[in-house]
Amino acid sequence: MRSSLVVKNFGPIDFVDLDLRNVNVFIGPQASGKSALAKLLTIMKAPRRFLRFTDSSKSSYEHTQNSFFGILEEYNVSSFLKRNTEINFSSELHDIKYKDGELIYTPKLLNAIDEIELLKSNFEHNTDRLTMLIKQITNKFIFINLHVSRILHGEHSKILFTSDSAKLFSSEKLDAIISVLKETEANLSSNTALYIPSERAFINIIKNASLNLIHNNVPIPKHILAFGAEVEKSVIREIDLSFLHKKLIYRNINGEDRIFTEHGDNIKLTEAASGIQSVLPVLIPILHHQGAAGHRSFVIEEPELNLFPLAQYELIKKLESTRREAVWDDYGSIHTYTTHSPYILSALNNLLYANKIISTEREFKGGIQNDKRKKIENAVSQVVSSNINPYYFTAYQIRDGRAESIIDRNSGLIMNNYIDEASDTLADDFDALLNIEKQWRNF
Amino acid sequence: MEEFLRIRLGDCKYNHQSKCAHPSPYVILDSPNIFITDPGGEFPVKIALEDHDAHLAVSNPNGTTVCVVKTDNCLFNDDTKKCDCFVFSNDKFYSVEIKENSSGNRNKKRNKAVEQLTATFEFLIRSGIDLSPYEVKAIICFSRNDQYPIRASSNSQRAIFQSRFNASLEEGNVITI
Repeated sequence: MRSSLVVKNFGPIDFVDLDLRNVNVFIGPQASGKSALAKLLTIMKAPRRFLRFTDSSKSSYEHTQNSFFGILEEYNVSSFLKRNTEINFSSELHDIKYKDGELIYTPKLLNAIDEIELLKSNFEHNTDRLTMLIKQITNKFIFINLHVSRILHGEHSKILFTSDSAKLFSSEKLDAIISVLKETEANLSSNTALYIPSERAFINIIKNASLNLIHNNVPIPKHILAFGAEVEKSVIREIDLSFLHKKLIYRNINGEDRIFTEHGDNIKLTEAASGIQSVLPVLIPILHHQGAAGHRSFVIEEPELNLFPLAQYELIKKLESTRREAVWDDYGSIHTYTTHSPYILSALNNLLYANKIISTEREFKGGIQNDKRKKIENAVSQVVSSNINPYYFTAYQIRDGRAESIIDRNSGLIMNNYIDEASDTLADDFDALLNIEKQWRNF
Repeated sequence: MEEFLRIRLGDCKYNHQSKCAHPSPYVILDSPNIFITDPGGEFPVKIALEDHDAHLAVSNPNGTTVCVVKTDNCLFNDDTKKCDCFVFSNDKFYSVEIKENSSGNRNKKRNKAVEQLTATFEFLIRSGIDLSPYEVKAIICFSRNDQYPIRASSNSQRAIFQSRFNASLEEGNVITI
């Protein structure tokens, strides 16, 4: 799945033009704007959280400066908005353009649904156009395709929509198709994106005191509360946390979060180590989505929080092994990471390289034997439990108001970047200290 | 290999002005320890049997015949981007780029070294030099070697070298023949 986000004059951002795919990484120094971009992406992916219908019979939406400002405020980035701010977001689902204080929302899928609805009244004469529109949609949205096929070919049909399927159009069936399209479109436009903030451990603490906090008007940022509500909804009974510590298990027992240790003891989540408290709010919504159909986009702010380097690596492997590739716009998930960690960056690079080894063998022109291919795949999976297809991966370094890709598209690997330069700066300083010591010794 | 290199790449391109102790680019040794230093400026690497301030130590515990080839400012002229020297035996071939890092800028210097080593291997391939019988390594030699913190881009450079040249890209001050 691809989308694009172009931002001008928004907080610390002067100009960025981002091509976004299924795994995206933003790196950069403090206050460079990487979190602001990640938040904008979350907002733009699901715009109907803040846009409202003006006319329920048509796809026209009310968008005021206030509603857009309100959602920016919810994400603590409203003061980044300037007079000359420009934002352009484009995906298969919709385009959003913000310029001169005005927001233009073009719901591409909804517009197509409106046209289908218009053509339906005289569907016998409009079959060709209807077929083309539905084909365009079903090519990009696999669950819609499956639903449409079942409506046309019967409940147990395993056939995907083709031009021949159009012979089965009827007024009732088109009504059912429109209903599926509308439901999916509304869901994708409203609930797709989840921002997992760096303050995520905080929700474990406030969980049992939420009524008290609301009663006393404690000003907790809305995006943190929204995230807390999402975690609360996503009930997972058990999560294996042995990648953090031997035989460590999370269990939800009657709504209470408990951590079980290797000795069989258990403690409250709020009593557990900070790394566990940071990791669980990431894993719970993502693992919950793994068992569900449909598409979601997760923006994970600083996955490295409170984690030992190896645990950072294991977390990335776990997250990426649960991710289903979003090859259709209503399927799988997108992970967008913001990070300062050389270990997170190297972990992602390892998974890219793992994919490259497997894919190179697959593409081998001489035709590699099946058993040899399996051996190579097994050998790779012994080292890393997941991999990332470089085609679906982007990585940007954000600094001085600009964004620069750090992916080498030829090798599919991460190239020189600010985090790696930082490692070398540490080494440079140590060298300088060694030189001083040497000079003193010879003085 | 030495004869083959002589035929393909010739001799010192600066013979008329050379003040080197070993005027030929090809220096044959069988000592257990060989030390290589980059003096900087327009001079090729210096090869010695004892030098505690050397940038690179070649450990040769079995007394194997080793050939050190001075490349920069010697075998290659200024038109070619190249590494500082080759070190090879019957079964090992090292292409070495030395970077003085006491003045900092390790990151820039590493990237420059990778560029030079890449250009060297490309040149060897173009010159028809077959390295397939050898264990091939590209060595970036800093005066002090650091392994951590991990750098994603350095791993990527290693992967690219392996894929393009079947050579292992490493950083270090000691190589063993």
